[in-house]
Amino acid sequence: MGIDTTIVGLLKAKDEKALSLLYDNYSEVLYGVCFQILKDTSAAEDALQDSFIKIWKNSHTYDQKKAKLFTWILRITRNTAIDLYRKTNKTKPLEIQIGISTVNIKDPGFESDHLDVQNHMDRLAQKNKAVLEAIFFFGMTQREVADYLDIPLGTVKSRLRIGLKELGNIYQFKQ
Amino acid sequence: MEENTAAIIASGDLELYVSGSLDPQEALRIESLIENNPHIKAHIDLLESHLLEFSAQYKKTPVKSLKANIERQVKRIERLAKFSWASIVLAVVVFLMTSLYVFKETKRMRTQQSIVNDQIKELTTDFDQKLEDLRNQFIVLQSPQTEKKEHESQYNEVSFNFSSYLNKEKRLGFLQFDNLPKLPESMCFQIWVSRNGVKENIGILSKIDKQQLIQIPFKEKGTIHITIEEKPGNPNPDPKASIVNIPIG
Repeated sequence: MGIDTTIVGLLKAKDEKALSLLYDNYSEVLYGVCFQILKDTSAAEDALQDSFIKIWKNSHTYDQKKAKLFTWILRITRNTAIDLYRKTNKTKPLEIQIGISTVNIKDPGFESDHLDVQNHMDRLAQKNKAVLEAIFFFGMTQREVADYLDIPLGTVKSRLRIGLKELGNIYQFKQ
Repeated sequence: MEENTAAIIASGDLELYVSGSLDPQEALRIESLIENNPHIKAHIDLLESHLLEFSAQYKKTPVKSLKANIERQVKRIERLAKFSWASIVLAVVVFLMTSLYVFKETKRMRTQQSIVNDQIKELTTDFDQKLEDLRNQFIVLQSPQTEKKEHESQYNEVSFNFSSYLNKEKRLGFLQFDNLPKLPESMCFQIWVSRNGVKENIGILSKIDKQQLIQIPFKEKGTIHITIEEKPGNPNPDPKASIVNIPIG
């Protein structure tokens, strides 16, 4: 039985151990996503805390048939972080850094296998990565990405596809 | 089918679905595809794995106290939820018990009110009757037209005396007993009036009160009878067994 199945079982049973397991397994990734969006450690911590509360409160709505556990918690976390960003930066648009890696690879929180991933991620064209980040992290529609990056909608679609294909290749290479 | 699947994969909608960027209606369409198309399901699984890996490259360690903060907050939420449920249950129980109590009390008070009303009605009727009796007694006893007669009768060789007051003008009549012979426990003196073959029961004499005047109906000509009957009286007494016969009218 995978860890996700265990966590889901505990969440459905409203067992608080679920939160501990969820935190131990996913807090670093989710916190990283929050930080990517909010660019502030304190705000990212608030967003992560709010996300875990939402996950706990809405655990009865999770359907394993529709999405993997991580996908579901990532959506909640990402939306919480975006909402917080919009609440605290009402007039300031979301910032996407293009062509610059926002990841500190010397961060002690990273494990060695992710360093490999990071090395391979460097191979992912920045222009494609920007589209992926805009959609996955900032919840933009393809049309919004096109407007924001000032590129045609067709280009956004092709960069998204290529980016995901590159990601696939990277992970295939890693495996 | 394969062509259609390829078109769906190429549309980029699946990536948007995985990232949670589709509107609810579009998301439902993709969920239906996932359920019915194994190729789409496989592609979604792949995208979800990529999303995890993609997100993992940004991983960062939060402050150590955050986990404890989250756990504390969740415990507080659970305590509040339990308290809320307990409060709701308690409120419902109190409401039901109060309603039941109020319902029972209202019912009891209505019954009591009904009893009291009946008693008041009875008392009023009784009082009116007694007042009427007193008025009639006063009329009969004070009127010069009233004919007073002393009677003496016998039962088992024991004589007993009584008086009759008959006022033909006012159509009122009373009997007043001085004494009565002693009867066995199961027997009683019954007073009744016969008119044109119809017998009207006046009542039984249980004990003698010298002050008591027994009113006799005096509408038409008839005869007052006293018989000795078994308690609680005879609905069809025999005039031949009468020990007292007083004509009236």
